[in-house]
Amino acid sequence: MPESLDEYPMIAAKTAQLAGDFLMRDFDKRPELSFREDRHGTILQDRASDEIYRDVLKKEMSQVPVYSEENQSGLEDGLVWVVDSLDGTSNYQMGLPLFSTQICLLRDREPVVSVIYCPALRQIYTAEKDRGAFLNGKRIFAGNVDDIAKAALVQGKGLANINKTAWYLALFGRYVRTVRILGGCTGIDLALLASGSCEMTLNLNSKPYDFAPGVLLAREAGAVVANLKGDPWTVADDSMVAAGPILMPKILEIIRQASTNV
Amino acid sequence: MKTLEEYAAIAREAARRAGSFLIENYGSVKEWTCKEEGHYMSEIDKQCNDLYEDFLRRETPEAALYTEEGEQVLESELVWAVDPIDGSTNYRIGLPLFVTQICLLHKGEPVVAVVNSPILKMEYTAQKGGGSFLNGKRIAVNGLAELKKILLMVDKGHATAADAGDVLKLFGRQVHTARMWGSVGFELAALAAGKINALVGLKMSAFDYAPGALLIREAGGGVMNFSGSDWAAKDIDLVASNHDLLPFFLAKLKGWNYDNARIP
Repeated sequence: MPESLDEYPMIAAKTAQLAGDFLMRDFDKRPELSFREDRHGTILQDRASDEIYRDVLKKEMSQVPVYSEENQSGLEDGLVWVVDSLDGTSNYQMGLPLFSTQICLLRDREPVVSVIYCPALRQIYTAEKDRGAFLNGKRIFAGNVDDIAKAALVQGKGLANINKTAWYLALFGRYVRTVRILGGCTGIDLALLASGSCEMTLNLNSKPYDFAPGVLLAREAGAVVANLKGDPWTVADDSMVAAGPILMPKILEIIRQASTNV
Repeated sequence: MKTLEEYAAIAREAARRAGSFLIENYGSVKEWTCKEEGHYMSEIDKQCNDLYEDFLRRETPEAALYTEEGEQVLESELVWAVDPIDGSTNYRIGLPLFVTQICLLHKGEPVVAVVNSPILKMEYTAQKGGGSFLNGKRIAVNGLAELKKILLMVDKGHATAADAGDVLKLFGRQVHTARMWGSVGFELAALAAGKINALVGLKMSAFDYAPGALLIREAGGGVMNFSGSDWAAKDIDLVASNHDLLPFFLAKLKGWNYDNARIP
């Protein structure tokens, strides 16, 4: 394994841009949505953009395995690419620009390089461990409000039954200023947090490739990303809550109290 | 009085001018103030509102104005209902889910509507009896009647986020999925175009609902208050869907009460 990760961000950005350009070419086609067994909607472009990543990454660095929607064999130690070639499929399918193509490099299961490319919004978010988070090349920072009443919550829907999402929404709705559910685009949810456009995100029952790129971005922008018990989020966690460091203890306390009351 | 076609042309022109203004100022909102609990506005909202008012007073002195940030007269034969920026928070943070919208009410009934999404370049138009259109192409509501496949939109309006969560809990086990985009005009237009299946809106005004209500009716859908009557300009709560799904939503919302004790 190389000591330096210098060439990886470039490869990640280049591949994401290729995939993003492909997605934009098909954006007006309104492809038919079909549903997988786990209720997740999928379209032709999911697989086709995934193949772009596989082809390019294999050519550029064949020694690094790729973990994605199309190949979910074990997340090993060492270097692994985690790819979500189309995050926000249902938005893409209905012509809504809230989707991204995203990639993250894990080193020993920890996110170290991220690219979240939102071609329809003309935004590319990038992050490297200990080197900060960026939007179109400009450094970004998460907000750090001290009062949850000032917070906007962007909640993902994940693969959970919408009733579970509703439970958390009704719980935090008592505290926060406002709520959005943008729809299965975890990368964008976390990018909004990382750029200070919302103050809290919560996502239930998703996959490592949904989370990993945005988790590094949010952390590098100064936010805290945890599982619902309050431990730092790892690729083994299927749910996630993220906010600024001052707000986070309050959020975890609300979850703890509500869970003991059930 | 002018013809409906003439009013429709005026409405489109007003919304296009507002849309250009909003594109020019996109990403420039720095200062915003809390208008009332949980609701924010910026100088841009006010300026955009003025654009509409100046234009409409000049072009249609016969019509009263019911605008979000200015004159609010609803009791008149002819009223323009205007929301200069529907989805102000999204606009402020650079999320393109917002619209500028206008609707002509004749004796309280929506007869001309324009919902303009300037960043996404979507112009929805409708005229009573003449159908609904997106960028000039006819649109229709989605006919899907299978509850377990539908996408439900909830818009909390001036209600609390907790209210929205409670609405979602009423339907969470039956529907496929849910969204909260935070711009009811954009959401109702998406419903008219068949992209989403149902919408529940809480505590909003005629300028929020009226344009989308006409779009949906002209696209073959139904728009009602929680008691099951056709939505009227005074109704603050709204449910919209195709006519097959509406009875299900009405049955669930019948006992809806904002003051009910809630169990988390």
